[in-house]
Formats: sequence, C-alpha cells, structure tokens
Amino acid sequence: MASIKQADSSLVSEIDAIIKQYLGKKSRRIEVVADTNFDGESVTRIEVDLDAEETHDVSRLNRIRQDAAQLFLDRPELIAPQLIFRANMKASLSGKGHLSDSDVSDIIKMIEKLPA
Amino acid sequence: VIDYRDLLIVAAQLAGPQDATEAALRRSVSTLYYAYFHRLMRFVADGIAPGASGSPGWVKLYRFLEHRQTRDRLTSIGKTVPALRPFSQHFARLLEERQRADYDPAAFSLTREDVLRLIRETIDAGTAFDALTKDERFEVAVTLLLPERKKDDLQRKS
Repeated sequence: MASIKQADSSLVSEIDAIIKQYLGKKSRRIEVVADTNFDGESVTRIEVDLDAEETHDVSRLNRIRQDAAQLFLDRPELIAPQLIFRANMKASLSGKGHLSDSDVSDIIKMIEKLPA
Repeated sequence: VIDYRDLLIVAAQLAGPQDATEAALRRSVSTLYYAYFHRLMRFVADGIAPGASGSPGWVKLYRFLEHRQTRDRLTSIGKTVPALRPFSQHFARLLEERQRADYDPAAFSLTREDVLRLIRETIDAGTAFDALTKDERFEVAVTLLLPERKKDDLQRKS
C-alpha cells in the first residue's frame, strides 16, 4: 500500500471540511491510500479516524458519506473510492466508545422498524 | 420469501456477545452482506414484476444479480440517483468485507465494535432506498438488471 502523497492535501482538506460541517470538528487523521481489494482490483481508500463516540452516530456518518460521494464524482482520478471511518478506542472516554448489550438491543430495535 | 430483516437480526445476534468469537464475527459480516444482497434481489424482482412474488419469472429476476456486477452498477447508479450514493459507496466496502470474512485465511481484522458499527452504518445507508421516488425505484431496478449499452453499440444501431 502506498499513500497518495499528491492526491492530496486538497482532497484531505475538502473531506475534513465536510467532517467539520457535520461533527463540528476535524477528524483525528485522514489518510488516502492506493490499495487493491480482495479481488486484486485497484481501489482508493480514504481512511478517517474519529473519536469512538463520533462513530456511533451513523446517520451523521452517512451524511458525510453522501457529500464525500459528490466530491469523489468530481475527482475521476480516484479509483473506486471508499470512505472508511475508524474509531479511536484508546482515546474514547472510559467505556463510552465501546458498544454495550443495550447498543445491540438498539440495533435489533432499528432492524424491527425497517420496511420489508 | 427470504426477509432481509431476519438475516440482519442474525448478523446482530452473532456479533452481539461481548466475547463473540472470530468465527461469529466473520459469519456476522457475511450475513449482513447477504441481508442486503437479498434486499437488492427483491428490490429488482418487485420493481420489474410487482405483484408477481414467488412466480417462476419473479424468481428468475430475483436470482439474476451477480455480486461484482451489482457493485459496479450501484456505483454507476449513484451518478444519476444522488439519494443512493451513500449506499452505493457503502456496498462496495460491504462486499469486500464479506469476501475477507468468507475467504481470507489471515486473522480477521474487524473487532466486535467494528462489526456492530458496520451493521449500523449499513442499516442507515440502506434507508436510502426508502427515500426513492417511484420512477427512481424503477430506474434503479432496471439499471441493476440490465447491462449498460456501449456507445459503439448505440451508434451502430442508430
């Protein structure tokens, strides 16, 4: 894997701006990586480190994903870009970054409300 | 008919225990992927042949999708149906995580928290389908089903 050095600070800044818009602050780290997927096809991974608590708010993450998808459309040089959020567990407040049994129950309640 | 929500509950239950094993996490990710693949298959079959659920023709439509082709067509759809972009982008990752979960002999890289977050992100991204208009639903179903015609072919036929 190789970091895309020139791909670039402007891309990172633009993604950080989107993140700041939705989360109120910049990410801990963004890395743009040229990689291959499991089938050996080229992909561009944009890995975003967030505080663990921030990764619990998935609807905000998806709004970030929505805006980033538009950004990627404007940058055809990015091959099959994937925006991946990673949780920084070590930096989370005691226990709050970890999902509990009640979080799992919440997921099941979410599922039960989904349309067929 | 397979209900994707039942598969989602199984995915959550597999990753739910604090001491979920690597095998359970792998099966959870795989089940999560197939939950949404089944949802897509049903979306296509119902979109093209509404009211024909379970008939032989409907089952043929249901079974028509292929994994990588679906990923590529979702990416293409994302260009014209903005509401679907988050799901299109997320699906590519989901397919890859499923392939690693099913086939990669190296140690599984996702933790229980990662898997549960992936489930929540997928459910949330999947709500994009609920926001589609009737015309968009039909367009998405047709685009998932049919190959894109190449410009050369179109020119030759005209």
